[in-house]
Amino acid sequence: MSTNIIEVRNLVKKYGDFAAVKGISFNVEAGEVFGFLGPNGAGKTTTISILCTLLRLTSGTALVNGFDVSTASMKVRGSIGLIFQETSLDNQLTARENLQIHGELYGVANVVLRRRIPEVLGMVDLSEWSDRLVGAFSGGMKRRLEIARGLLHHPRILFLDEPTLGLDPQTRSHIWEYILRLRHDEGITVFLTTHYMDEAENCSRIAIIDHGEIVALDSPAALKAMSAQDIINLDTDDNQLAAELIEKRFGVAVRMGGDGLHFEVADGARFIPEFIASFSNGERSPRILRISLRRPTLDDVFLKVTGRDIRRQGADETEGQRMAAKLSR
Amino acid sequence: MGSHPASLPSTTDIHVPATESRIERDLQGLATIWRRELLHVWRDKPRLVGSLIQPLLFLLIIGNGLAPAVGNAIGGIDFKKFIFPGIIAMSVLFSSVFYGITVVWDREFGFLKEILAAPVRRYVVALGKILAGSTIATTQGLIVLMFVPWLAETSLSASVVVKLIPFLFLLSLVTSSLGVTLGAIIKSIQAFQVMMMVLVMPLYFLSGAFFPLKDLPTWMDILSKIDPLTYGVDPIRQIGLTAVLRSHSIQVFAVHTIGFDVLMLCVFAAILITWSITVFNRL
Repeated sequence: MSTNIIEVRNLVKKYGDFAAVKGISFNVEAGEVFGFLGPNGAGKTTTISILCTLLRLTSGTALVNGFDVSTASMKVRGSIGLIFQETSLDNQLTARENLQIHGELYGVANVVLRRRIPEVLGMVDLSEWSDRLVGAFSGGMKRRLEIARGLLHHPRILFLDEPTLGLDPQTRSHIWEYILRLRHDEGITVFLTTHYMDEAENCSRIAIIDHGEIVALDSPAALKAMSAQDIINLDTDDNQLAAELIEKRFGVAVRMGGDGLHFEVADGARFIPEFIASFSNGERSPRILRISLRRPTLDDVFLKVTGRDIRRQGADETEGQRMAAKLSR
Repeated sequence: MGSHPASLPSTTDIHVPATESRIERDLQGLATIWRRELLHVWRDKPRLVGSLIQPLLFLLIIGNGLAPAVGNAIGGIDFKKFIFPGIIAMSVLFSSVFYGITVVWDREFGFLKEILAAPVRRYVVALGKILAGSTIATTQGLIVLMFVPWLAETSLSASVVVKLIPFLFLLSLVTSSLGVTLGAIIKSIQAFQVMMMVLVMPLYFLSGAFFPLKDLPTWMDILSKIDPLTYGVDPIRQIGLTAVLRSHSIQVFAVHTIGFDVLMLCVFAAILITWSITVFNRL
């Protein structure tokens, strides 16, 4: 018997002529935290919506908990927990009432709910707020309540679509503490999408998706090993000239960035002394103003496999979407 | 030592209600959705009171304002008595069509997604909403009815009120299905309010609530016949006036037999509920 809790084969989703997802295949193993990483519009939400049976696939197959999303949607729904990008709570009801309604909709018996509701409220530290109207909750509290709600019916997989979108950094890291702790306590599989690189580091495995295709899939460590080189960031009084010299002398590709030059070398710690020595005794070398070394991050991996910087793009598009949303009001 | 790493729940731990039949699950879903809607109304009492004011003002001001001018011209009865069944139908219509806006709100605030993603069949969601709307509208119609003896200076026996309940509910079913379906189709609150004005006023004016549907121009006669509210106002008036009028006088206002009215209301309800389920299936 396979330990795959999600199996996706050649999944395609088309809107007219436009293919939002172009035949992706992957497996998620039971118990792992699986991350879908990509810029806005890459096909993350489309994929998660298909797995949760909110969207119909155009072709291919997807099994969730062994149930086919196309033919057994009610069984898929009953066995998963869902946390949407935007809040989906009833603001006019209390936290407890929101959970009670959720439990009933998911067919959880009342005897079970009486025990389970205080339990999940406790897990997300909302016990003291159980009888308050949700409308008065902060963004972070609402998110926590949604996580509690997603877990209420003992799902085997918890799906989170951009769980920390729009939250401040401190709340974001708290939400992650909850997700990781609950995953441990409840022993469930977590499938999430994000466009934050630092969040993706919390995953067991990551699929990088771009333009509807998976361009890389592995553990964060293995992905970082793909760009096994250290990254040197250098600033001089003549970066143009410095770039030419480095490319000529060391045979590495140099990128020009806002904060100086970036290039990759195999062993940065040994490279720097050597580099400084060779650079300062050259006849017409620019003067070094600043030099730093760092280990590769997922940002670098993303840049490498897609050729684009996720942070810039993510930020730009979100801003654009907010503007569009404002204008359409 | 078979110590398992972070024990994963086996399938038996999942609270999938395998013992419940599909019908039991559907009824549970229906009850949950219905109860949530009523809880909302209960929490929002100012809205409940506010929605009563409009029909009561109509009855009080239009009834008293037009009564001297109309005199005994309509079947020899006081105008206030003539229009009170129309006002009851109006409060049912306004309340239930306006209830459709809750679907727009649920979409706006995201809760619609929670319901649509739940393992509950869509027809259950549509029916739950419609039944909740009908319950609210019927209740409101009955509350307005309580003011009738006082505002329309007429007597109402308990048996008449009881007889009216099924008719109010049947009419509510028709108008709530209409409201809920439109709420699911129309995505903005502003557009919904415009639609209310464009659709609800003609439905109301053509239903015979304000004037007898006799000797009308042909176009108006045709429109009034395809107006579902006509078949609601007619039986409510025939039953509501039994206490004040003899049966031959009632025939002056009667448009159809009560049996035919019930049949037509059922046909409209069936069509609109089917439409509503179709729309929810596509959400």
